[in-house]
Amino acid sequence: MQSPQAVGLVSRLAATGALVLAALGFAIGANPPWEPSAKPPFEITEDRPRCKDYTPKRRALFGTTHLHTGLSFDASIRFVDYANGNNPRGAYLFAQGKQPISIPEPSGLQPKRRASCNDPATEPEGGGPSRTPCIDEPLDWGAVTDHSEHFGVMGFCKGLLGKDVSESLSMECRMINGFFYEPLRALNPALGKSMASNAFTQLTLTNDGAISKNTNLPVCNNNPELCAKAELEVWGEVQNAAEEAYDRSDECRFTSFVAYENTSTPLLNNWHRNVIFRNDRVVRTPVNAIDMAVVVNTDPTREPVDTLLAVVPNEPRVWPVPPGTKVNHPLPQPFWNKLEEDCTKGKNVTPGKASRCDFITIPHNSNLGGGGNLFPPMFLDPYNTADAKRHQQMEPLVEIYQDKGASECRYDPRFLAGTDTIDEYCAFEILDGKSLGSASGVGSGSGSSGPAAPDTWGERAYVRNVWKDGIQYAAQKTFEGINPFKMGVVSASDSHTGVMGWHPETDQWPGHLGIDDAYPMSEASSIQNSTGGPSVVWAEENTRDAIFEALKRKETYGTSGPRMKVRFFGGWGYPADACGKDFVDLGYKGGVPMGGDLPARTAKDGAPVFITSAVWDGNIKTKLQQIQVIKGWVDAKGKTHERVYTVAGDPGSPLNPQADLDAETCKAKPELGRERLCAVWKDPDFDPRQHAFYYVRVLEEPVCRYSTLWCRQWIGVDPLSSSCSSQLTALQNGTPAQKAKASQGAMCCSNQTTDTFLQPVIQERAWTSPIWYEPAASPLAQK
Amino acid sequence: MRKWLKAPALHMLALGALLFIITDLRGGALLPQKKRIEIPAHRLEQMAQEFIRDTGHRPTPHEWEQMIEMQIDDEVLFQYALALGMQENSAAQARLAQIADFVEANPHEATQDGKARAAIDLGLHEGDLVVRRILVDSARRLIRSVVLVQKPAPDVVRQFYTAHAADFTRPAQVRISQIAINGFVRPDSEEQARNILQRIRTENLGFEAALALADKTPAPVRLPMMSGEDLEAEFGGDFARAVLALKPGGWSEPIPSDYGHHLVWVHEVEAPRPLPLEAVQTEVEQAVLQKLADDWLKLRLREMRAEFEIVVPGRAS
Repeated sequence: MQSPQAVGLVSRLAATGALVLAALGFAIGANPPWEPSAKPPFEITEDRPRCKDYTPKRRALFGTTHLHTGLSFDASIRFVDYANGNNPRGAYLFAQGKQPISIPEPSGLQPKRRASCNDPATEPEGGGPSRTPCIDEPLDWGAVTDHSEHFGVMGFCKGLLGKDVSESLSMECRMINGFFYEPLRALNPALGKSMASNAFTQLTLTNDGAISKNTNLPVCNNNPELCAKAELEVWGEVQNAAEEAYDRSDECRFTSFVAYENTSTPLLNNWHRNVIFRNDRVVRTPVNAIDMAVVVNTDPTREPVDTLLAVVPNEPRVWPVPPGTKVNHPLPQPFWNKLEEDCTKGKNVTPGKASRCDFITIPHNSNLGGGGNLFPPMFLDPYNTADAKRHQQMEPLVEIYQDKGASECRYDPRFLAGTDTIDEYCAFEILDGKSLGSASGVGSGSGSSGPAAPDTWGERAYVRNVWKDGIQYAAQKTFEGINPFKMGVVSASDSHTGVMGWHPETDQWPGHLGIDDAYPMSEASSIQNSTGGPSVVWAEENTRDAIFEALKRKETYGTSGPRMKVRFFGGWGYPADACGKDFVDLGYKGGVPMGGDLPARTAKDGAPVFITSAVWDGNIKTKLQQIQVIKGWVDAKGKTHERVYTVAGDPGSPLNPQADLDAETCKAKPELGRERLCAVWKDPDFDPRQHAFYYVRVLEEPVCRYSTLWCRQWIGVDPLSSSCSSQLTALQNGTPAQKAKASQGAMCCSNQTTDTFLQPVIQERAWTSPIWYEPAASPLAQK
Repeated sequence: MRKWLKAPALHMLALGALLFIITDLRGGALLPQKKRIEIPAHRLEQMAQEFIRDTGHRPTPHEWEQMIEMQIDDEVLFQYALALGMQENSAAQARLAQIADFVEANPHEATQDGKARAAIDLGLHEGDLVVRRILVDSARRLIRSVVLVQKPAPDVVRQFYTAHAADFTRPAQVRISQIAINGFVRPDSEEQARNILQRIRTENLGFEAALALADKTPAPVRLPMMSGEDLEAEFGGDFARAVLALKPGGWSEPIPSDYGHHLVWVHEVEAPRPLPLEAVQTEVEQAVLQKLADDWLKLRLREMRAEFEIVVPGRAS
């Protein structure tokens, strides 16, 4: 109800506004004219000028494929505030170094905003890193991937439909808007985090967690029209933000992608997939976890969801899963099918400047994706050949590393054993939890019963093992020689704070989940979260078409944070002295780059030859220790194997990286490492009859993990000191302020041998997409 | 009668009547009336303490004046938001209902609307930081959005572009040739580069002869005009910064890059020059809208301030 005074104010505002705008001469303008374009070696779907720094030899473009803002429900419940600028627009401005972004203070209050990165930042109350950070080095490209399932609810909870929506007072909105938490004044501040965790579970399990008859949240089931309208508003905002951030000039300073995340979370297992669209032609409404239901729920107000078992119906939407199959999990197939129908086949596409719609889906966190118990892994066994092809076609990439740990492989020094590996370098950012329940602050980490043994994880929780299974399928011709898991790699952060492309291994890391890990070393469930890393593509130019094609052909790699430049080529006849020549030119002309299949082997060819090079991050300046080539293969009996070869640099001490560290500076000893490495390597164990894959892992010299620096700076205890525990105990027995510090840094003295796995010293790294070798010239194998 | 006229009770009655008439006249809008905004002294004290905590020193008179002005702006926006009924929006309602829980006799039976209204009736919204921030931000966004949703006219964009040419300038460009010493195969590439430089100088080698001494690397020997950003993408940041500081003519000292070390010859340097409007159209439009939205907000705040009597302790209103 507005007062007469308010009406007067509004009329005056409108009248004055109209006058001012008229005086300024606003009008709807026309699109700028497009320059004629050259013909590059990739499909052009956008009418735009080629970049002035276009290079056929391709350059490394650093970006992100996975990032959340306050527009994600699970960020909002942790006080990451859409209205305070933590939204897709804010994230893109942050990524370009144009603007700081606001992250809630540990208390839940919003920080004092600062308009520019030049303005001084203030510390939050009680100390700690700035809550209005700026990126240290601008990013080249990125995609905001907010959770799509709750776009509708977020729309009206955040007021995008105006204020006269009674559903904005629903329980769902109360949870999303954090009504339950009294910042600063709570008798027990920890209650805020625990309530946020409960909200996460309630908002996730009810619809994203089912396997069949999945539904939307109750407030949307009661008013589907409202939710549909709000969903369009939010999806429109995501698209508009991406469009505004995209540099369509020939300067090509930044490329954005329209994207979202499918949040399928059956029984809190992570089956999430990011969906990235090639250009501004995208699906009108996101296809998401609800579309992964085995059976569609036609009356969600009456029909309960099914969380245990379902029978696959005889319907085209679930093709190629055989009808009658009993499953205890949702299905990615109807999700892919609908995306293909709506996008690729153009049945439900937005208008736009581009010529057609195209997409890729990128699964992430297989380390939390099931497979260690009765619940299957996110990388399911294909049902048949058509399904195997579908896997290969729809998911060309997998996220190998992010805030919630590494998914490459697992070696646990507490057991001196690994999950189908003896590679000790796999003891890197491994999580103790097996599901999102423990990794997202919902519940504790390893619990009181101690860490779980490596063999209790499903093999397919780790990407290297998935790759091995893929070539095993191909070798055994299970699906007519198709390798369903021929995936390249990217890294990401998955941060829920809008900090696109920022992965500082310093004391300035503000946590990745709002109030939940604002003190990232306070408890076991959150301290295992790291700072993530960039996705890197080798592309001719910084445009949507060029980058998207690079993603599809898997000429990609990921890092754990630093911006190393890594090349990897495979062929049959590279010269041994290629490093002393233009090895990039040789690499492309004589073979394939990362992500490719070795050219067909001829009778005169011996073993495959690989060229690989790595250049350090010139800003961080941590030197490189070594380049490893990791090979997986299948023997004549169908058994898979792996081996790690150091091909350049020096083998380090995988389980004792502290040995190479200067503990005072927290940097590697200066005499160690190289700024650049290169090698030409011929596989000494090659057997032309064996299916194989090869990928590169580049390791930096050891440095302190951000958590070590954070504990030193903000808590006043030194994780590298032998008296760390005494320092922490002294705080626990000290003044109230010291006790508070001790609580905030409760896990500062954890290490790689304690119940909660945490490395105070790490070796940052990069992982490339593999290059595959297939002995059988199966006509289907390359499809 | 005279005695009665001297009675104090009559004097009090007359005075009361006079006050009543004056008050009534004001209330009946016969006299101009302004709503009063008073910045409480305790808030000023809190501001001062926060400033000292953040900066380690007391605010200068200028800084203090700026802080008070910002506080007044926030207060005006808060009143404006209340006048528009923004306390009815969902976030504010939820918060109001939450703080009303403390005063409701039986909060479990009260409705959200009822609790929020009770909070307002009790004036709890005035003192709650969260409600104030929600309302002030909402008011600020509403006022700015009037401008931000528009598309600026081409002539306004052009005027802005002309007035801010320095912000839309192509950076300096440089054209170079380079002798690379391949660091991938020569760990002592810096020393090797220095030896080659020495040889060029000692033997007085010509340009082409010097170029012939280069190792092969993926980097081209002769490069087109490039900006610092382009050089950084190709060779790394250290190389770009060093090259941009060179003057044309003559071989440089060894410069490190992603490929090794280089001796660089700068052929020509092009000073920064404005980019054509067409190339930065979107960026200029965004900048125009942001500037106009800021101006519009300032204008509206000035207008709205005039509607209030503003009182700051220690300062004339």
